[in-house]
Amino acid sequence: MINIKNVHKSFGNREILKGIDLTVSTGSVTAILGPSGSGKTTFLRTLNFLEKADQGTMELNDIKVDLKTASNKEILNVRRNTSMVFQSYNLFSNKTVIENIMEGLVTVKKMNKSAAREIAQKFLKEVGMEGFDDYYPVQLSGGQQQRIGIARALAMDPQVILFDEPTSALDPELVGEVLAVIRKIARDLNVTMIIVTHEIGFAKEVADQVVFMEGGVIVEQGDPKIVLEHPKEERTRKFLSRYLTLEPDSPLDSAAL
Amino acid sequence: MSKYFDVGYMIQSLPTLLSYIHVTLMITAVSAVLGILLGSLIAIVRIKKVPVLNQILVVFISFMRGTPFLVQLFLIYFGVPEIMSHLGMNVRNLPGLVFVYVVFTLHIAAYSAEIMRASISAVSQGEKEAAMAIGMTELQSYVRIILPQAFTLSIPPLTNLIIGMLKGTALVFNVGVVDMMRRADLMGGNSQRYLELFVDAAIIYAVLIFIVTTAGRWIEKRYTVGERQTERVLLSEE
Repeated sequence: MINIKNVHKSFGNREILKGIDLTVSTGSVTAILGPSGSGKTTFLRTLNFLEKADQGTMELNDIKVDLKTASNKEILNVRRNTSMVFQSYNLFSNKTVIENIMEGLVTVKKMNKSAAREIAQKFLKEVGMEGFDDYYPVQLSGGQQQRIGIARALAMDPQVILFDEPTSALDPELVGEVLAVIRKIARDLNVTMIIVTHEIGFAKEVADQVVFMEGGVIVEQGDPKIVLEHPKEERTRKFLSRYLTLEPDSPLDSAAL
Repeated sequence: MSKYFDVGYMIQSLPTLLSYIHVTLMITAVSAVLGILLGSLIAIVRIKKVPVLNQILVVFISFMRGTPFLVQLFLIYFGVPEIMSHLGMNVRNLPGLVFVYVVFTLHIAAYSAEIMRASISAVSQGEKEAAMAIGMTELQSYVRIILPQAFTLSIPPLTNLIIGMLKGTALVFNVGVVDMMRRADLMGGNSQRYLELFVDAAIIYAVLIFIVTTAGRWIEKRYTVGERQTERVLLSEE
């Protein structure tokens, strides 16, 4: 169970997050939707301290931290129990595919190399990238790189994986392969996931909970079928309008997804 | 003065000048190693924006880059003993070579600090975040991810810097160090055949710099991930 309370964050005098509360149950998938600039990514980044929040607390199972005043040791502890998948993949370009996945296991978890390699290979298989061990990131397509990014995150055996717009930098035709991998791990591995995404159809299908953010606040949240098909708030309806069919009362047309 | 240019004398003098090559090489090698180490430290202080130290180093770098090398050499060679004597220490008897090492090291440090700073900044910020996100300490992320990449990026500009310094050693005779230029000057005084000797010197410098350039290119190729690996993967797929 992850319990996040009252997260505030400003850049200069622009307030980006105006008090976000979120509860995520273990093994569930939460999708965060919302227009650009709504603070989704910033919120995600405050959870593993890539951005320091101005206020807020998080309970990650038995770890309790203050998102503003956490010590370096507490920050490291949170990071070692979370993983992140980045919009621009951020693979280590000086390392091969297999080394990318092994890096955290060896450097952070102090595993020996052969054990790390074995785990890395297992997750390489999980994301459908067997046999790519010795490739460097520059030799892979965006979709392949992102799948390695997901394998790297999974290998650390985190309590939650934070996905920061994992498909936004991809060609439309590569989006599918990455979503398929995320769908697969959501189904098979029972990992807790928080996914910031613009893929509304995907959110509806995979998520247990959908959160709609705008202007630094959560406008609406709940069961994806309810939030996405019958949004209560005017703002949510407007955001979703281009995904709805022309008749305002019909449910989401799957063709428009 | 029979011939305008005496090829025989030029060839015959080459070994004598070559016997001074170690002075040039020592000054370049020692100051390159010490200077790049010092420069890397300065770069980290600058990136971390350590208060006070950072501002002092900005002034230092700006001075080293903003004044001619020969002026710096004279300032240290004549200025430091003067200051030291006011502090009650006599360093006037130190050989000129010591001052040369100091000036070259500081000079390389100033330039390489900027090169290293640029190279470190050029490594993707995202990769650093990825390293942090999997729980690496800052030191680990530098040692494992950032510095290896920054090092590769810095090889071409550092090679340029070392070439510049190697050529700069031709100025050290100004503070009484006998290197091959000084030797050529002295021999020319006796034989009145300066041109032959300076052609010799030009040849020696050109060959040295060709070697440094080639070595730099080799190291760069060796450590650049993309090219080396692409070759390997393509070969293994055939």
